[in-house]
Amino acid sequence: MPAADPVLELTGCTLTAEEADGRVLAREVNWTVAAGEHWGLCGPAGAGKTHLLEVAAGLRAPATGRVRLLGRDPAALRGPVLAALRREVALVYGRGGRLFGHLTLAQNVALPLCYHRNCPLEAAAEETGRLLAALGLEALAARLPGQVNPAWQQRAALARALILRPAVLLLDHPFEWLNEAHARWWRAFLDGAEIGWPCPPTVVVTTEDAQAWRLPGWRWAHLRDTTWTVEAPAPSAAPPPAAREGLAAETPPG
Amino acid sequence: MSRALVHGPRRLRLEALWSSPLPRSYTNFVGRWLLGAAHTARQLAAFALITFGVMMTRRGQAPAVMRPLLAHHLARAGLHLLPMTALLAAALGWVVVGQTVALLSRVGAQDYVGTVMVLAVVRELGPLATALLVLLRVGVPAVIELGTARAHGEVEALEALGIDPVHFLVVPRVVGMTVAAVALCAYLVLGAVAAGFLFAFLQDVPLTPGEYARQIAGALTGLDFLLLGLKSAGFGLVIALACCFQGLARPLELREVARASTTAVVAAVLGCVTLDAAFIVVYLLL
Repeated sequence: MPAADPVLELTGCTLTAEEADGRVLAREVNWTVAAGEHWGLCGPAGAGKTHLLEVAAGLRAPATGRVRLLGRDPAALRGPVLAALRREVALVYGRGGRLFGHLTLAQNVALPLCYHRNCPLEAAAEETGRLLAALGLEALAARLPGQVNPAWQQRAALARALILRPAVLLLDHPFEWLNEAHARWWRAFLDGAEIGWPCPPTVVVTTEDAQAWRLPGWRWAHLRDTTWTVEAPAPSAAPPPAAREGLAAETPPG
Repeated sequence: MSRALVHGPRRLRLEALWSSPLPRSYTNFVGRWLLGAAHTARQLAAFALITFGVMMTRRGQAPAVMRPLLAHHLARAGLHLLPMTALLAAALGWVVVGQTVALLSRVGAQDYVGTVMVLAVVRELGPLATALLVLLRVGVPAVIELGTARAHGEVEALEALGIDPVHFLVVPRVVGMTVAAVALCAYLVLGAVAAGFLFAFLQDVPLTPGEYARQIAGALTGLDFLLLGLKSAGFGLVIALACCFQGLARPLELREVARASTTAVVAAVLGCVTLDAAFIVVYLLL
């Protein structure tokens, strides 16, 4: 079976913090994510996982090393070509997803679509509504982010990323602040459950606790004390139980 | 003799103080402040160039999203400030005429009321008062909004969605504040001139509306209109850039937003005063 094309490649990357001390977060990161793979990045708080995701999304440049997204070097691209490449790699931040506080959830989701398609926010109502319904957010569509709890904010941020139909989905700590019902929904979504909207084929997730989120077929890498290690692929036999059953149980508050 | 003995050492100490070099800590403080100010000015200039670059390169991008945003900021910086501008215009007209009419009447120079209005309001107070209004009512909230957005990571979220934060957050505010400063300045000048005549009328100054208008028209030149527009636009631009720069250009934490607002006000006032000084030089040269 031929190997899938790499969609993310970090070669010999060193990551340094943005603060004045410029401390090294990770050394010699060599990481290749092939199309269709699901990865989990595990490491303690402050290890630099978010920074790594931003580098992988082409939002930051590494201190040293080379990054390629979908076979292209983002540092060599400018303007619309770079923007188009970034749309292919969606990054969803954790802790509520950094939604825009002055826009409703529906407007938050519609904004990137309308900006790139050049249409008024209202013109994307049908597509946005379909996605919000798929993610169980239709009852909250008219609310501001500050009026819903962080778990729903996180899901709205996921919707905002999915509306552009990216090829790669990078999720930064999506499981923080989730109760068990929300956690089941996320596990099922990431495990490929049918929700009425396609999940991108390639997914990378960061977490501090790998044990609770090991799903079948996932690969894992660890970032700890500036050291980057990649686990060998797990044998495909005896996959852990999937959590699809949690999907239907989740309903938003009225 | 005894007095000289008593005061001698003190005089010596004073002379020694005057002739000694400035304490190193003081010179260091002033030097650091000047270097810091120069560094900030350079960063602000770079931010302005980036903003102008984005205005040019992204002109016409996503107009369906950007036009409502621009209209929102124009209304916010201009239309919503009209009542306050009217109040300020009335106060300005009454103050200028109230302070000058008594003196001018005493020396029989009430013919110069209109000229004083032009000199004081059109050339100086109008643009400055408008700039202060825009800074306090629109500029400071802009720093808080942008600083909060920056602290919450919304800027990075925009970039992750392929949206240029300068295009989406800065350009509408810069255009809104610049255009609004020009429009509000025109309203303020007209309002102040009208209020000035009303006050003169109430003070029984023997001045007909026609004579008042003739005095003002006589004192105004074409250059006044041009410089008034340029000055108020410059003030609006300086305020918008200073506020957006302080709110957006650097990583902020929530606790730093208040300090950024203060810094933005200081930077905007310093910028406006410097620009005003440059315009005074232009007036003197022309």
